[in-house]
Amino acid sequence: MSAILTVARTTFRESVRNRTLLAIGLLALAFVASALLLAELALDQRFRVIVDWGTLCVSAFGVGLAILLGVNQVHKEVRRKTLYVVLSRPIARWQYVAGKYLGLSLTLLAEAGALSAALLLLLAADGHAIPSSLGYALMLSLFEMLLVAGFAVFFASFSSPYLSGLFSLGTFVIGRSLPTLSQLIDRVEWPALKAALKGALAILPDLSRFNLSTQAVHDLPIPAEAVWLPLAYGSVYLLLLLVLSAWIFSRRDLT
Amino acid sequence: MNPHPAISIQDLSKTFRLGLLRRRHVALQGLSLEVQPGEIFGFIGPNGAGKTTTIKILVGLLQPDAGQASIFGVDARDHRARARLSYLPEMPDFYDYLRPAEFLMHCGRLSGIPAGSIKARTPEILARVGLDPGERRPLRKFSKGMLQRIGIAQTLLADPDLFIFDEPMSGLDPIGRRWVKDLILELGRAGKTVFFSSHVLAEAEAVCTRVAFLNRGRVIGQGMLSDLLQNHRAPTEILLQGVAARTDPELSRLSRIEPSGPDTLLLIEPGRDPGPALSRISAAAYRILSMQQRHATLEEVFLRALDGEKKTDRSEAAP
Repeated sequence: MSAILTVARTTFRESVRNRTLLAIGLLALAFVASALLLAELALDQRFRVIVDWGTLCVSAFGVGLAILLGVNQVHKEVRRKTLYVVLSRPIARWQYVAGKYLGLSLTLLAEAGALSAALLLLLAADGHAIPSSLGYALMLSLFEMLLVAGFAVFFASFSSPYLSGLFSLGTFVIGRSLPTLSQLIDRVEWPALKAALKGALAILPDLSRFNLSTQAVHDLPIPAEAVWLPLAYGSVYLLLLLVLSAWIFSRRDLT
Repeated sequence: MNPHPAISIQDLSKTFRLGLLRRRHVALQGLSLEVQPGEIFGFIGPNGAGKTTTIKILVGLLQPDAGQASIFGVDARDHRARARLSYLPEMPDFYDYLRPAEFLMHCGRLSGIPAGSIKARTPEILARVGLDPGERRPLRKFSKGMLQRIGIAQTLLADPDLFIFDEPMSGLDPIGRRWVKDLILELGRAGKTVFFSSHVLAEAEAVCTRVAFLNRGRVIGQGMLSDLLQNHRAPTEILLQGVAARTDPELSRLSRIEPSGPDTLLLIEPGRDPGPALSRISAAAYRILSMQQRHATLEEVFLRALDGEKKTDRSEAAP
């Protein structure tokens, strides 16, 4: 456990001290704050505009950061050989993958947490009460980022940075569109193709379950299962991804 | 007394697949060697000989295709084998934003050392490698030489039984190289095993107790340094004043003639009697400035081993 926490702490430190990430974080904060400007155009819909734009910014920057960090963290360590002094010590490779992912998650939670806090402060400053639906929406959005980061680490364990980034982004886009794609596949007439496409969709994560922004914007009630089911589903998915990543990474030659 | 060798390598082979066409590149072919506890072992070979590949297999970064490698009797693929070793990669690079003390804490914790102990030892270790114990700059602001020093500091922290250094002197200035040489000798005196690769033979000669020569993934010679140097005698060198002897046909037949600044150097192969050459020098009244019979350098021994390998290859290739 100590090795995992050590790798996680160093990953977190390296990330939060990185000036590029700091700049991205500040840009994201500026985007969230720009919700106030947009709200000026919305007349009596200020709350909806701030929440809609704010949650979009939190999710977009969070997912982008998850892919960027997830893909880069491992590749950078291999390319620059910083990994060598880690893996030449008595730690197993799965511990390294677990530590790396934990550090990455802490970084994402810090950045996305700060953005979410900024959004809540903005709403409060604009004189709105904070609905619980927004809290749930932000929580699931953060969890979605962790899942996307898991995909990025998984793809990075066996492919190049560009391909890993592309695969991760593709998974996010398809995962978010899964219900629509499922309906489209229902219209396919060839049974073999239909079964193959259905099979492919079954493997991919249904990220639409993590998107509660509509409920938050309209302050609609959110049933408990709409929160815990995605959390449970995502946790199992994430665990599988990390086990697979560790297995692949432990067989990899670090040339 | 440890019953196992510090390093044992048996018939190690490794092939890489390179490029889009997955071209085969044989890095190691049936490499075997043993390093006993307390030895300072030089792993010598030209660039691309397979030194780094062997080291990476020893420290668990690469998996061999065939053969076995073990550290103090534990299979090198098992992460527990690395509990008794420290490794310095070639031209090391470390985390950009960590400070030296943070980096040592990171490495020490991964080696299983308690945080309190690392904190207490950090100033002493930093001072030992010539860095300011109060240094607060992040590692990205360190020069190449300073990175090498912090790299060595992280190997000293766990006080392991085996040190594996990959080209520890590359990229260092003469003072840095001297410091690394002194450190290796100091570790040897403390009873540690040091296994290091190098293609700079003069430096290896200054510190090793035993060496292995590697070329194209194979060991082409190994032994105690003192034996190798004594068994391979260098040519007898006679330095003659001026250039007159350079065109002497009889001397050309008896020795190899090389210019040496304004003078002329005669090299008489080991085992050949220098008498006839000396008689000719006397008859021609050339003036002898110096004459010496020295031991071969490690570089000469290595080059002869390479020549021997080439001859073997040619004779094997001949129909």
